Amino acid sequence: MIEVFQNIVRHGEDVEESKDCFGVRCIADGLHIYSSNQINQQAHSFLNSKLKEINKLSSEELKSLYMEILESTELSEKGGAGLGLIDMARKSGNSIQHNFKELAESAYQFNYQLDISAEKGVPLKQEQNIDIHENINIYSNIDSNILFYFKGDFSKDNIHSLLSILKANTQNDVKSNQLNSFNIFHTGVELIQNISRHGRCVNEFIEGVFSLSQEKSGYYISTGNYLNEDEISNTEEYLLQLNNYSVDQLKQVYLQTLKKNALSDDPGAGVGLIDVRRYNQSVIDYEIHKYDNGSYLSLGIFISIIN
Amino acid sequence: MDMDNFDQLTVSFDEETGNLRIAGISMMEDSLGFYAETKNKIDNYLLSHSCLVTVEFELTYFNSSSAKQFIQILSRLENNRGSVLWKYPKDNTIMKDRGKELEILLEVPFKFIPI
Repeated sequence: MIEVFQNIVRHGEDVEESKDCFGVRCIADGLHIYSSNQINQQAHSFLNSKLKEINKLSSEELKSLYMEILESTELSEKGGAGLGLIDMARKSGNSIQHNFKELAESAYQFNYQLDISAEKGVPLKQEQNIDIHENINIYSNIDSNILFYFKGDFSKDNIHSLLSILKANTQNDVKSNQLNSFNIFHTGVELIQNISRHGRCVNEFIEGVFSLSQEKSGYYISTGNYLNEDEISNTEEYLLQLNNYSVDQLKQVYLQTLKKNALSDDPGAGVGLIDVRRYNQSVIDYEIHKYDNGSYLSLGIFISIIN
Repeated sequence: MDMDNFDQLTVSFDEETGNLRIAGISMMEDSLGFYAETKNKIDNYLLSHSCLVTVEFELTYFNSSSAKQFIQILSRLENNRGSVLWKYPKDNTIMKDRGKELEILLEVPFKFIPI
């Protein structure tokens, strides 16, 4: 995963209107790590010839080539001499799927996909694999304002890494103002943990969605998860009531609720959404839809940025 | 917000002096389970000692479920059984304010110390 990500850094070009992205999809038998970034003519020539060469080699030949380059002193200007590519091909056992789309003179969008089987040391069969064009289609249709998107299991064990990513990104992006950084991180933590705590298990895991996008004058965090049927009317009622409080009332509501719930045995404090509302001073957008799997709560909040 | 110590929450209770220190970032999902042992230690200490308990916080972030656990811990110090040292990064008014909010809810003396 690191190698695919570093590939963007190593060969990517700094452009204003970037379509660059990095993503991981875990589907049934395999993990599909995808990156897309703009490159120049020189990187195109290097990657095109290197990937063609690598994809022709057997696992034994890849190992020999890897050792040969490692022992030689010749490294490319970008530092890797294709070592990362070879290493990824060795780990994957599958051909490295790639695609170059010409954008303008000397500029290409480089789409790259590494497919790894869940079964160690066994390549994915053709019918288990995803064609790179499917991922190109999916990732290119994602709103370009979205900085981070996660869809998957929100169980306790799983959300720790999600929170780590959020922490790393909010710290860097909005460092100029402490309150901005706090608001984004705190909102993310409370909403993610809310899903973990209240989200309904579907197909043996707590299915949920989290996204962070950049807006003109701030950020927008949205989440989605299935609700337990007995919580639907309470949730709707609670969100409606929360949105009706004025900003001045919210601190008092926070204190009263925290005090009331402080000595209960419930693990949550019942003030997460109050915090989300009072720190951001925005109303919480929400919708509940009925699907075959049950009732689904979509929730979002705008986080204004203070300069 | 300095959150380099994301995974480095320190919770230590000195059973000789009755000093509890909670430092770093407190944002675990299972805060009820996480702080259960700490609450037991304080209860045992207060049963067997007549000394006061001092709780020293030095946090850069805590989530809402941790706030609840802090109230449960600090409510044990009500009725003159202890006090709180709330240390906060001197440029972090949010952490100071979040400490002030806990102070409002408890009958426990707080001392605020910018560091």
